[in-house]
Amino acid sequence: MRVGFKEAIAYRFHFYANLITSPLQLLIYYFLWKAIFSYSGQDIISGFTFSAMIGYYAINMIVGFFTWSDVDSWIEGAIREGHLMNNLLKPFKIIYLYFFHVLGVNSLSIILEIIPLFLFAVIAFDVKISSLFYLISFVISMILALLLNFLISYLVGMTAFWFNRINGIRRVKRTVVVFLSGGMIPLTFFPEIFQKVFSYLPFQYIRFIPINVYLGKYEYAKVFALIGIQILWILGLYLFAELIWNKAFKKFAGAGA
Amino acid sequence: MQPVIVVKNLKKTYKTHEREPGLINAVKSLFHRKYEYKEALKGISFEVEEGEILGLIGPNGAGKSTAIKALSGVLFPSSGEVKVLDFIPWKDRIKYVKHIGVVFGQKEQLWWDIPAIDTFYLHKDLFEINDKDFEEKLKHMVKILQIEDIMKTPVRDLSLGERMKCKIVAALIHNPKLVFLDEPTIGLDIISKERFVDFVKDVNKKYNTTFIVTTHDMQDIERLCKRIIIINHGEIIYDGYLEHVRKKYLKKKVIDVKLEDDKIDFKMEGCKILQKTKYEIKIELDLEKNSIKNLVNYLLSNFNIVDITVQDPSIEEIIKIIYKNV
Repeated sequence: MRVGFKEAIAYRFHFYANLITSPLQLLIYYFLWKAIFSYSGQDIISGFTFSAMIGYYAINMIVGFFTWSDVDSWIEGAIREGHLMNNLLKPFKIIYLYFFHVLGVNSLSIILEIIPLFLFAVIAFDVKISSLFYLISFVISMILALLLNFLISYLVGMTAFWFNRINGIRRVKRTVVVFLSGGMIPLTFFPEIFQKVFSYLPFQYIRFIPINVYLGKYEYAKVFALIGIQILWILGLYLFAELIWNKAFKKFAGAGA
Repeated sequence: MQPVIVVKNLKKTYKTHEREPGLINAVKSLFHRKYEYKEALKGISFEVEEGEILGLIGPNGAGKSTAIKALSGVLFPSSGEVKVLDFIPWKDRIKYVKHIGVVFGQKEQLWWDIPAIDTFYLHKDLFEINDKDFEEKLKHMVKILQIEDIMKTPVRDLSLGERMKCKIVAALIHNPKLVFLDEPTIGLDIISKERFVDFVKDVNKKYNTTFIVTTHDMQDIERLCKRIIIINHGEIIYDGYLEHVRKKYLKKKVIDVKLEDDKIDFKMEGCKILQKTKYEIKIELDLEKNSIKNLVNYLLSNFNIVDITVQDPSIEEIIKIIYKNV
């Protein structure tokens, strides 16, 4: 974790860039939705008022930073460049090594991206600070979302053991996750039947659910239930990831890298 | 004494698909692949005792790296048994790797963008080294390898040799019982090489650490190892003391003599004059026909000698002969 943190510091320029671009991005959303709302003449679109919509995007960006994971490309690179071997020589499961690395990078992002962005959203866009219950549940849900997103990204990375290049798979994954998690537009914009399908997929638990928890869209009981489902997804995917890893390691060690 | 490494009939066959060049063949290979089987190791067996420094040598593609990988737990062999420190490396990987250190001379093993010292601290955490041991070990290694300043620079800005030194420290910081060095002296200058050799010897003596070294540099091997294993085409072609190799293949010596006399009249059985100048003569002696003792006695009693040097053919030449003979 410390290494991830240090490595991230080595590239702090990337963070500074985000410091400037992320408020800008929020500003774009602001004007976009302002136009949409005034054009439609409605006060509420798909269950969102204008200010709730801005809140959705602000929190969406925060969850996006917090759950960020590039493990799929790390794994691809590690296999191709041969430093996976080094990780194998450490007395830990590969999945833990990568997770702590992500944690290291992302903890720097809390300081450099998340807190400034949150303050900016509260001050400039009047995004409301949630009540304590929702705030705490949000943080828990966001941490679980990080685990979930990490696992999905890790599983996609595992495919690199069978294919040399996984650029295509990674791009598909990125699009799928952003769309189906509600990272692009709130899932309530999709037709009823789609929403039904999404609720059986893990993706909405990465963005849509934590955001709505923050926005206080659910009853207390529902919040607990959703967090429970998040945990179930994490356990399921973790077990699946372990299974795949065992096969991947056999494949890797069999081929001799 | 229980051996640290026991290898029995270790085999490894790689399956690779070959592809003819060209676009059509590239498309063809998507549907139908021709597989080729390559036997990297054809059933090797050996044992290593605790505290040994074993040299593993052989030409490129002989199977050295495959052997090292199987022993360090990152490769499944096709068949055979391997037991290292009572572990089966590829099965008990997580527990096993705590006790070993590996340096791959040709692979990057440090975090590229941050100083090496951070990698050392990472290893401290990963391998659960306590503060006292860590400090002591680090201080010791930093001093011998002279990397005080180097280790604080981001690794990407270091030279090959500097990185190598840092890698060695990273691989040894957790005080492993067994260390694999795969071509560790690549990129090191002569002084650094010497320092490295002394360092390995020192660690070996101080902690009774076992070392397995592969290299193409015979001088390193000569300075480090008593015992060597020579691998070629996936088979062990020699396993024994370096001295024995020398004796077995050393049938000739070159003797350089400097004299005060300018008239040299020399003739002796088993000797061939390679070169003759006014005050100097170079003789090749065939040890099967005559001995050094006879020659030197003869020279001393007949000439006014200024200097005598007796040279062995270099170990490189001996190894070359062995490779060719098999």
